[in-house]
Amino acid sequence: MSDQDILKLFKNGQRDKAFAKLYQLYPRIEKLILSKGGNKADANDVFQEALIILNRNLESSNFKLTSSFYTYLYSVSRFVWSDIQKQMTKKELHQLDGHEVQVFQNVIEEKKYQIAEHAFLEIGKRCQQLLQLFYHKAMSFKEIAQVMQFNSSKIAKNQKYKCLQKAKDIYQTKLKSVES
Amino acid sequence: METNSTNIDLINAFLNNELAQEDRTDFESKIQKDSAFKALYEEHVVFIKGLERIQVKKDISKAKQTYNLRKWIKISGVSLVAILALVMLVVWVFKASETAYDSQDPPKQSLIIVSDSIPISKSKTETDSITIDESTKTTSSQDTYVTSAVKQTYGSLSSTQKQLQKRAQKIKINTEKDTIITCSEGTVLHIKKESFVNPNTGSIVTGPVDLYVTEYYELSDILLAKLSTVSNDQQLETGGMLYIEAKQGDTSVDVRPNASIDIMFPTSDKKPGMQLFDGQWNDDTINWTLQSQADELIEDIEIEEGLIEVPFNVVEVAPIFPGCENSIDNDARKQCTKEAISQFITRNFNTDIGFGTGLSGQQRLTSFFKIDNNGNVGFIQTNAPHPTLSQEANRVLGLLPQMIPGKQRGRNVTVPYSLPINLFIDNKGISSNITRDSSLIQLNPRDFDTIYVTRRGITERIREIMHDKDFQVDSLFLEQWEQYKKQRLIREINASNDSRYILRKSLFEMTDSKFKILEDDSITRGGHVIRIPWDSLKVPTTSRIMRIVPKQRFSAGRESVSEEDFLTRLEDEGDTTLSSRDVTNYYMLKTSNLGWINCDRFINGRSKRIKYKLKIKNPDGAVVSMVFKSYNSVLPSWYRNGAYDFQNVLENEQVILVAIKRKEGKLYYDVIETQTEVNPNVDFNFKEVSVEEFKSKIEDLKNLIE
Repeated sequence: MSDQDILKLFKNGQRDKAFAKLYQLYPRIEKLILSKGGNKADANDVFQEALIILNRNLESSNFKLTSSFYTYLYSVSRFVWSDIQKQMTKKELHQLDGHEVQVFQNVIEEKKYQIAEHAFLEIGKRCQQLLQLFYHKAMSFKEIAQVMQFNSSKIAKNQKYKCLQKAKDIYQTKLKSVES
Repeated sequence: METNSTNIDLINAFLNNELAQEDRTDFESKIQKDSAFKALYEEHVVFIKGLERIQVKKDISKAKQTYNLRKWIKISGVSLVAILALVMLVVWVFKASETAYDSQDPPKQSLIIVSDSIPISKSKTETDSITIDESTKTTSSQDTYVTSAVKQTYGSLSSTQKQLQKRAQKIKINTEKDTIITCSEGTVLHIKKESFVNPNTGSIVTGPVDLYVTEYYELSDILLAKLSTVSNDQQLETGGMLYIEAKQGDTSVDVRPNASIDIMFPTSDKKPGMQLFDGQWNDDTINWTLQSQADELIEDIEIEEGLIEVPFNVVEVAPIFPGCENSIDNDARKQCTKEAISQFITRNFNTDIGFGTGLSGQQRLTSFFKIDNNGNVGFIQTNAPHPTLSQEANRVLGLLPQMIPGKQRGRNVTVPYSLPINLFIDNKGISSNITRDSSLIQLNPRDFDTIYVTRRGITERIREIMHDKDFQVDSLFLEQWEQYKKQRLIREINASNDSRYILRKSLFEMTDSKFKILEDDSITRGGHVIRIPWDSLKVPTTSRIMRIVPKQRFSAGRESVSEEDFLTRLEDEGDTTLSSRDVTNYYMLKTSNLGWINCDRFINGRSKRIKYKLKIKNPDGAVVSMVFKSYNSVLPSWYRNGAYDFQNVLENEQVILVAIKRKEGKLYYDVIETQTEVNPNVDFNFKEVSVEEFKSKIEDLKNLIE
């Protein structure tokens, strides 16, 4: 399967099938991480992170894949790993070319989203379900009230606001602890 | 918090591209200027992206599993081939060694292989035993199904018995919706959605369920099914018996705990104190036990609150036309409102309008409107022989003042109202004086009812094919759809009974295509998709058609009369056109069990009880039952020591003894009218009858009782 075919899968909304194809690149990424002193679990995490960043970029309209999937995932994985290891020296950063800077920024940004994700996972199960239904399934409050058995759509709306606020509070405290 | 919440709504709208161009620019400049708003916006974006991660991760882990599985299959496949090759090699070597070196030991290699193959065969037997386990499980569940079926056939199966057994009505229902069923003999079942559980798994049953209902109201049905009305030696009077079974496929399902099914037993003669009993078969006799929580009898027919629309003639508190508030009671207010509406139309209807239409003579218009829960008149529709007439009717109806809304169970409800308008257009000569005589318009709002019919059409079909019950079907898409069909991009194929659709590749490749390849699609070599549409149950229809139908007429003897007329006749004792059978009323009860259900009340002993035993010649296993003349009750007897024992019965009761004998596939019977007394002297003279004859004889007998 060529890169073009995989791109098509992404465009048709068959994300999981595309990911399954991309997983064939995993052994090579694993080799990279192992060579840099990580273990298999690390390699798994890094590859997952690289796929998330790739997916996010593909979804944004102004992104064009200039290289092969492998090259792209390889460079993202490299940055993700060195970021985890906090190994990037200033000197190295200065030597990055424009393209690499873009990738590096993606990696740094993704860290914020990761914190938001973790914050989301810390709120209650019901809150999680509510927010998922609203943002992911794009349900109306009326439908949510029905699914989650709230008495009215207004209550669902209020609950959603409270849940969101809770998640954001957790996010802020987490962000501070990371930055300090 | 309020502003914050509205801000978030705004941000959501912005992110979903729901803002108009103008609002968008406003929004963007607000981000530029308002730093707090900007921070909120950025934070929200981060949060939503964090949320997205969860979904993406799910997809990735799914992909990883597929990847691992494939890898594993590959490895095991390769190793299998390798092992196979080795085994063949060994066999060949072994054979060669056998022929060539007969007396020599087999080479070492073969030993290794043999030990290798042992764990392989072991694992094979292990999986084998698992499948056996499963199959025994399924047979055991089938067993229980068989026993329940045996229970239903009341003991031994002779051919006549099979023939005599009443056939259950099979009704398929959708468990995702509230369902109301009216059975062939008038029993009404209200089943709320998700009322059933699977007894094996404890989970709520979804999808269609088959309901098997057998009704026992007729005396002949009761006697042929060997039913009787006794609860632990206490005599019962029945208002109807039912056998209800619910199945999904071959699995019997139960009523969910805390749920119940409302059952309405039709009755012509309503008696107080009816309760629900569950039946248990014991030595060919059924014993009824009172359902534990079934002690509430709902006297009136309940109307689902979920409907919120209650027709005018049924609503508990009718909407009140201004000025009618002071009438004495609800009925008077209802009448006043009706008359006021009629008068209002008569007064305001411009009859002159009829002259431009070319119509003459009697014209009939049917108008329909709704008085909503605020008392406002809306949803006005009129059917008329000419558009100007319907326009005029709609205009006048639109002028109706706000009323006090109708109420059902204390809640304001919308009340549909249908109103036929009779209009007489006198068109003899234009020069003649046109009288605007209001009496020319006659109104009789009682003659029509409104019913709703749901309809399935192309919209629902498209949703079924798209596997999306909320799929947006607008006129543009419909047009495209028809176009695609013409171009044969969409094609229906009928393989046996299942319809399938072929969706050609190009549909998916178009820009902004609404077609997506789904997981359970099969794809042909040419890249076209074969789609199996969803079951129609998955796509609820939203189209409702309102139909105005003539109101139900009541039959009084041979005449057909209106409800009012019927009621006045009923009150008039001298009127002989009505029999008690014409009046249908219901006992409304709730059951939380299925199986044998009986609507009964206890008969309290007014007179002395005696022991009643009967000796007859040639009993030959006959079944003798006692039917009471004054109330609907059947007593069983037990054949002991050469006599039929009815145990304790009331003395001096007018009864009919019915004896039924089944012998060599033939049916024999006799009936005797008698009075209960000590040491009765009766005997039966059995006659052979066919089932039909028996039924009609018993019906005659019933008329005799009445």
